[in-house]
Amino acid sequence: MRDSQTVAAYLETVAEQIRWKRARPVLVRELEQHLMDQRDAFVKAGKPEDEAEQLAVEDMGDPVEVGAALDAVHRPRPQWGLLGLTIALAAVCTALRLVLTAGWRFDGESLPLALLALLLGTGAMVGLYLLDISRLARHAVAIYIGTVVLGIGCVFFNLSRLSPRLSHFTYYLSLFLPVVYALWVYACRGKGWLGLLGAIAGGIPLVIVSACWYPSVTTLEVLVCSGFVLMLCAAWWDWFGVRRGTAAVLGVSALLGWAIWTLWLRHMARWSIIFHPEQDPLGAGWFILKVRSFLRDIPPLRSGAEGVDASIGSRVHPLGDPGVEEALGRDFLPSILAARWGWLPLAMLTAAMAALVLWLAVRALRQKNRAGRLVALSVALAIGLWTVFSMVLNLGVLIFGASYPLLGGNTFLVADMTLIGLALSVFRGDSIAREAPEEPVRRRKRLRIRVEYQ
Amino acid sequence: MELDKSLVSGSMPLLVLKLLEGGDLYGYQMIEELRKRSEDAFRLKAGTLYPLLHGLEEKGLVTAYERTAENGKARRYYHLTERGRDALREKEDAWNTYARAVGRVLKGGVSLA
Repeated sequence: MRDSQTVAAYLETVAEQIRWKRARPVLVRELEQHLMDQRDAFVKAGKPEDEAEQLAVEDMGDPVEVGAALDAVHRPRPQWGLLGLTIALAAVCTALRLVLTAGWRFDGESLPLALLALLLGTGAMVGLYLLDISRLARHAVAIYIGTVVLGIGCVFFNLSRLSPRLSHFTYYLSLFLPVVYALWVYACRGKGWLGLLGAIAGGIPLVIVSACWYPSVTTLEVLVCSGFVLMLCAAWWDWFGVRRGTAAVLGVSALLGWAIWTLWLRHMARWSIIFHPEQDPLGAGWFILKVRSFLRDIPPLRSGAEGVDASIGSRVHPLGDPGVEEALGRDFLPSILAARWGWLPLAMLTAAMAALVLWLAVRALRQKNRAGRLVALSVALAIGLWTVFSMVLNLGVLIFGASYPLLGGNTFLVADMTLIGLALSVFRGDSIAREAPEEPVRRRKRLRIRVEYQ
Repeated sequence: MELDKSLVSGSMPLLVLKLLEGGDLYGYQMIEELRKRSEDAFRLKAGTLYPLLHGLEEKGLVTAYERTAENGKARRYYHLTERGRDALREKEDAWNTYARAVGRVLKGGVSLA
């Protein structure tokens, strides 16, 4: 578009005044569009093109003053609070994981690996925080198609047989599927009913990918629940140009249908075990019975790894046997924490996690940029839902395996921090986030059928 | 007659918000509209308008989105938010009070006694 030396030199001077490099191309583009309009107006008024360009540039004003004024408005928005909270929570969770699994024979946490994971997670989060992720929105459809193709490829080449270790890592890739779905919903905006139906239908391949990558009920539930919320939000914000009420009824019906099928009909046996865990004392019922037994009568605070049994007057392990903790596994670290040190530390950890999720959600909803808003919301929903599923599990109610965010394991911590980095990058660049040009929302006329009879 | 810049600059946010009350516009349209409606009295420079618009956007008084304009080119349109409408009403009231007071003084209607 920029074919004039005069305009190019002017815009370069403006750009030099703007200290935030990421903001420069975005701001210069708008000024360039204006200069072209102004030049065309002068040409239309009979001026030669060179003179028209010169006049357009003069009309805009002193480039140094213009650049300085834009520089004053557009500064990156540091997210020190959210960065600090996430890193602090990650450090606390790493320390807890190390301490709580210290006595485990096979699955105990290794200090060097835990520190490496914390370092990698922090690096990934800060790296994404500093990067411009607005490109994600520009390539939303390509990212969606790429994910589906990758998912199909993994099944086609039978990844689990090729490399069980590599196949296991697809579990962590599944954590990013809500973000991919958010990008897909963004790509469906402005297309009326077709867009809404496309947004709903687009979730199906991702559900299949999730199921194929790693058969985890929780991963699937997090994807579906967050996906429905994202789709309903998009409909509520009038992204599709359909009636909000109708879209809400459609979305809520689909969500309820899924919830009934997946949580009740598909997993009826699980519910039976939740209500009668004694019927499966060697399987899932054992986990429920154990968790419920040691969560009973927990004081707010306990002295440490061992408590004193008043009846026998000697020090005993809170769970009776240290091996029970390892048998329960890392998904139950929150209840092990409560069993060892009382419910207050767990309540404090959960309050900090809830604060992080709420903070992310509120900031997400305040974003001006629509793609950024939905991506950040998908991150908040994913982390929030994992926390909820994990807490439900740790209260002995549900039997979907669910790791507590940042606490479950090293790779899980890196994946969670990467996800949060995505949201922080959105918040940091909100001042210059720009939407791609779009067609006006097409509102379809309501069809009326008139029947006349004589 | 050339207007004193200091008279104009303070009222620019009010004028820009007022323009947007009638519908979404992009920067070039705003300058043209302002020029026409003021009968060439206000010739706002683009270099003044964009920092002002971006400042209003930061305050949540306007939002912006990109759309293809009638000439087929992508343009950044500005839209007045509910908060912007409230701010516009306040600024209009303040301006009317100020204008009436200035008018009374200029007509010699204020007694110093």
